[in-house]
Amino acid sequence: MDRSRRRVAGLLLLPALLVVAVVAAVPIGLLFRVALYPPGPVAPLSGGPELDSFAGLLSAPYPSVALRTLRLSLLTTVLVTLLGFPVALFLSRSRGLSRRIQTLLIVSPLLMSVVVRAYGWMLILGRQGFVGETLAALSLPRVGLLHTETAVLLALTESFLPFMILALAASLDRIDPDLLAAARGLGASSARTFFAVVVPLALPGFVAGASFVLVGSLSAYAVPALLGGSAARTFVMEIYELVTISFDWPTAAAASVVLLLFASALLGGAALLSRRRSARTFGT
Amino acid sequence: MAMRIALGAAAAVAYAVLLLAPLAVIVYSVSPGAALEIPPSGVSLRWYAGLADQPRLISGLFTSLLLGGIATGAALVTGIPAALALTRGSLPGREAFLAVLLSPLSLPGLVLGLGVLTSAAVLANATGIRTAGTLLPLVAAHLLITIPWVVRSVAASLESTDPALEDQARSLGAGPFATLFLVTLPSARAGIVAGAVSAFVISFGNFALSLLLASGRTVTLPVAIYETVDRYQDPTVAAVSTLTIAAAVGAAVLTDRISGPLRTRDASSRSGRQADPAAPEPAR
Repeated sequence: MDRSRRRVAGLLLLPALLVVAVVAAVPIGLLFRVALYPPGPVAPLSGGPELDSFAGLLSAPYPSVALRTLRLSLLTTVLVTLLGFPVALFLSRSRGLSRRIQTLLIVSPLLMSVVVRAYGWMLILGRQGFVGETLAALSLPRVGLLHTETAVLLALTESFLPFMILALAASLDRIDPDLLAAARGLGASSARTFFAVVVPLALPGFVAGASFVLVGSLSAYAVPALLGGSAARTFVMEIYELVTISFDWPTAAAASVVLLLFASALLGGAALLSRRRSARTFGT
Repeated sequence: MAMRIALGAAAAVAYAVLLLAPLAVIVYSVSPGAALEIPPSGVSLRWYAGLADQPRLISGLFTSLLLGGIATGAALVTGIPAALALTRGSLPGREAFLAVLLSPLSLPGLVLGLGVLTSAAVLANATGIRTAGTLLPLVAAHLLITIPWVVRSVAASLESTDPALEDQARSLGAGPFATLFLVTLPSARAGIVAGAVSAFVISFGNFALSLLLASGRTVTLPVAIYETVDRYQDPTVAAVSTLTIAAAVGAAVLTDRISGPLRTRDASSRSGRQADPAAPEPAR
């Protein structure tokens, strides 16, 4: 009974696993292979295997672009945490209609295309946009924020804020109110209760949210391309141009491999961290 | 109380930030002229009528609707069995399978697109089967990222229904298929509909994954919007973007109504039940 049940379950799982194998595992495996060809716009790919396309990533402009990308995603993560934590607290204490409306406000942007939201920021930040025209209407000098790192940071923060709020709220929702009452009953001040009980219990949500936001903003393309342009080139923008402008597939593949490995390391580290934490909390 | 007001103020700021970009698009879509005016001199729907003269946007809209439909159908066909296997199959390594199925969500979209593009090129070289320029690579890629939404939503739904009901149906003489179609699947209806809505919306709005795979007739709406906003100041793009914003909000309301990600969380979280005003307020 149990064996045949398992066999059926395996069969049911197979189509979905096949999709992951064919559309994710094979393509990513191929990228690893393409990265080992000699760099340059050569077709058909031949020669190697060698690591020259990885070595090419060590020369300009890649290191500075990688640093800017890292800086942007770290700052994004900090900003969404600072903005998101009070919101998550407020949300986890809201009930009924207020909670449903807040959830709609948080979830709706996630269902909109990132291009549409980036377009909205272009309309706001451009010299001829809402900010620029408002300044002009007030006879103040026009300021255009479009095509700056600040614009990228702002739009990245907006696009990842919902994820952080939801991740933190998921942790905060699980806090047993009795625990807070107990801390208070034992004489802890509300500040002490907050820092000694609420913040540590929100950490798993923070780790999950922060790793997602870090990896997501490292991999973002639409926001930096539309709001930063050539003024704030990011690593993924370089990959895109290597493919579509210089036709240098080996270098594009090598850069992709670097990004994938870095993202996996971040996500893996976060998973380890949360497992260690929960092991410590529950003493297993 | 002061704490609650401060939290509410912080939440209001965050929600305003989330609303800004879509609002800018909506306001620009009804502006009378191509240039943005502050204060606006009137309201006009001419850009919505003008959509008919934008073949690229219209064709993008239809491509995205078609692609979303196919991807959602395929994601349901592969994702529902997978969710059944994960919740009812008593499989060893259930968590690992789930992690594999959800992993495409954390892959950088553009990198994955490059991988699929490379695979299509390798396939064409090896067998002469050309998929470039057809919908097939896009369908495969979108299927990959929509399956997780179906699996997650249907599995959550199945987990909250009582398997004992199925045992009763079996003991009353229903065959496995009758039980599946008359008891199990109907009881997971809310999860199936919510999963289908999310899958469609995710495919419809996807940009990074589609960018390298879309060309000519297979350019999707987000890619068409991206190519247009970068070059022209044209409220027609804002008009079509507003339609997608309305669709996203509609989808968010719909999922809230049918499955209520919130309502289920409210009901299952310990604090949800105790949400009466008399309950002690935590951590103030």
